[in-house]
Amino acid sequence: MSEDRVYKLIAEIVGPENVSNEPYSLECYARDSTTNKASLPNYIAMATTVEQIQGLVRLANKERIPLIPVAGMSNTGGLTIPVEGGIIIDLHKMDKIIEINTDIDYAIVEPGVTIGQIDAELKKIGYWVSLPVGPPGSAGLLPGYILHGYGHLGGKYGINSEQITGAEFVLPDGELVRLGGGAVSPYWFHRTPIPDLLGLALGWQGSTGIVTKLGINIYKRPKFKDAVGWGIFTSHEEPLPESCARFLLTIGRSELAYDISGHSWGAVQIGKGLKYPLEPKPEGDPELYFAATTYAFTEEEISLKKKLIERLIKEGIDSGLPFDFTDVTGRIKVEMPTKYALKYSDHRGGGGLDYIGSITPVINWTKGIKRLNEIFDKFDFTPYIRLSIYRGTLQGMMRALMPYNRDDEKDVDAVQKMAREVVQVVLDCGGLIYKAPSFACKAMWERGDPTFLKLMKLVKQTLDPNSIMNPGRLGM
Amino acid sequence: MSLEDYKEIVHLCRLCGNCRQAGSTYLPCCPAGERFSFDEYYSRGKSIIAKGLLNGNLSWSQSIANSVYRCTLCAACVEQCPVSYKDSILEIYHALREEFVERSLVPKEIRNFLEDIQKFGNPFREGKTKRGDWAAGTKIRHYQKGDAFLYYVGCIGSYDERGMEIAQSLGNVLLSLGLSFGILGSEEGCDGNEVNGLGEKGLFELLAKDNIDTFKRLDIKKIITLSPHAYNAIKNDYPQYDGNFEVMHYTQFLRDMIKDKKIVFPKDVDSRVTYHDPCFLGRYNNEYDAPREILREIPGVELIEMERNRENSFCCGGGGGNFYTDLFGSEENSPARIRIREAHATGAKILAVACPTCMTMLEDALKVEDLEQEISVLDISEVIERALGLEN
Repeated sequence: MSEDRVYKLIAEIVGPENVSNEPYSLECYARDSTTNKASLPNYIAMATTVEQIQGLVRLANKERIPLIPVAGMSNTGGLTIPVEGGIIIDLHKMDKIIEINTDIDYAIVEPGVTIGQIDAELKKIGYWVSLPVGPPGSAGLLPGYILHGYGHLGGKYGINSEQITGAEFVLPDGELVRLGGGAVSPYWFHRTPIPDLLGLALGWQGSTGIVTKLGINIYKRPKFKDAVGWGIFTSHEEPLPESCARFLLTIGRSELAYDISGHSWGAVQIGKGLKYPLEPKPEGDPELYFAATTYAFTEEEISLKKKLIERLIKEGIDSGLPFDFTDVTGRIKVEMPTKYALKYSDHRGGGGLDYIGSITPVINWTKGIKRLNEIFDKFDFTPYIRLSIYRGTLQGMMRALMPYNRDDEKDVDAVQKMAREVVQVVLDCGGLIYKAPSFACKAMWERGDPTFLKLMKLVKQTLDPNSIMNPGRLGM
Repeated sequence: MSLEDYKEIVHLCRLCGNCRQAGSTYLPCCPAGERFSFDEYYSRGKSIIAKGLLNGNLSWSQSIANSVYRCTLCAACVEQCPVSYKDSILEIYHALREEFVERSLVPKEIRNFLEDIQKFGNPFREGKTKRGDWAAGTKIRHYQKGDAFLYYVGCIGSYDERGMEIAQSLGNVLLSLGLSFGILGSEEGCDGNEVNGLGEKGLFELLAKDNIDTFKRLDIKKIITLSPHAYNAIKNDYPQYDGNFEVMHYTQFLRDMIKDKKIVFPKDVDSRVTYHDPCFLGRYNNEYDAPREILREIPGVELIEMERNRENSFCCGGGGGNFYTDLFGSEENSPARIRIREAHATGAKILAVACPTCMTMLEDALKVEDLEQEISVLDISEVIERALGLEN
């Protein structure tokens, strides 16, 4: 370890035991599980206080060195890969749940609080929050929220960032600001009606500052859970006809379910532990599996909700839609957070998992899924598409997941190409990409309002004139 | 196997970071990660280091060894890993360490430990003739052909002051049962479990074969061990050298004796007790119940669990040779101090252990935390001794 000048300055801020520039240490922070190219940082700083973060930001400005915040190390999309080197600020030791307010129903957490940790804590008092669906329990809660991730209660409450009530934010000049209700009130209960400056922190992928505390809505945890599953028996070529997509809207509008999610046939088989290459889909199996999961506070309520969902599906079947009920006993038993989704990365025996996730009008899933299947076929990958409908509206998540072998350059190359094609499909469907890698952002801006990009650049330039905050993000 | 043999496996790590937290508690599970924080101390980071060494991105160095050896081999990460990589994690750790040994890159603390074992047959730098001194003045005798059981004590029970007390406690309990058993005294050799974990395969083979030869020469069939580390080595590693014995950890043996009504407790041990799972009994050998079943049978014991228990238990920090090398130190975030605080938080008055390594680590932490008036660390054999009224 060479203790150069910057190293010593970092050590003065975080303490000598909390800084490293050992090559093997840098290597660990250079990559994620996606196909985004690895790139080494120059230093790792383990921050444990807000003051230390402020100190590091000021140092980075003075030295013109990039700063990249990380928390749970389950990062994806290459969003924390230090493409221009710099200092990684590892925040996972800042793991306090600062406040749980059950009079106003919000909680305030530090960046290192994990989704498992908050769930375990809230469970003790009969509460919960919408938990990110894909990552493991060890993933940071805060990143999934500020990056507009999807949660297991999205069918009822919308995407996770809609649950944010306030934040404490270190600006790129080191100043500390409160955003949302907490800017004025002692209670972090809502982000409006004052100007919603939380927008300066959300979705920016750490390129406008570092969120050091986050306020989020918490909800009473219902005691009862049930789910209704149904298969869509169509064809690989026409997996979700418009009539079926319109039916999903009906289910969504009913507001009976906390989660309405679908998976392509292959995804379900992989979930059962089957390995690559899968046997061809049996004739009688559905093309897509859907499940509506609901919760209730009383047995009477859960029973009624289930009956009503079943009735809707039955009406669909009676009207000639190609549906049939499927067994979702296993799904009912699964509790969040779950390691279930991680198994997909094992599918091709390779540890890698890349994905392009989007928020897309449900009605456009019809053409979207069809084209995604074509892309999977073209690259000889098992189609793995995940769909979820957001709160009572007509839009939802359409995500293409691509498990790959991290050690196989051909696989990596194929997935990189697939990801770029998937991006175009999403945009053709009028979708927006979340947790978007830089190339996906560029594709969005190419089709978007040029003044939007201009404004983004202006905001970035104003807040971060030295461009120290996670540079290379958002295709700017 | 060499690290090269895992070339097609190391990339199977999903890089998800789930190796950081324990099961449904979602509390930290990795003692090295808690102590040293950086990603390289977690399983995720170690997979990246292994990959880097294999593909030439990293060069073999003492500084990497210093990081890799700061791991207690507690297997908590194995328990949490959601993908098939879990089956290879410990093997890769072993392969890494073997290679550091071969390249003479091990940290000096490890080198000293291994040299002491080689020179003295134990890490305490004591003579082999003193190995059975702890039993002097007791009725515990040397193993004789025809005895039903060998009581295998191990290095800590033979030489460490507190370890010797535990060895005597268990000896007293076994004597009280009228059991036909003996110890090997100066004929006993180090079990080698830590040597194996530190990657000195050649030395481990010598130690294992020496013990196996002795066991066979004396026609030993059944072995009761004081330490889960010895139990693990004899059960899982000696068979590769044709050493196949019926080996039990003492808690398993005594649990069966209690079930068979051969042990009846006349005295009440009026106390709230919490139990700390040793890694080499729990995660390595899936034995979580025997110690708990014993404690539940002892009159007056109220067994309460720590938040992290059974497969999610948090290591005391003594495994992987750290008991001897002290690479984790005794700072506030050292594993033993974290664990003793967790035990104290339950309100228990006794922290029961079933491993002399855990005992010493946790008792030392107890003193540093200044909790001696609040909670005691006792080996289960000592709790049994009390319940049997055998205490001096």
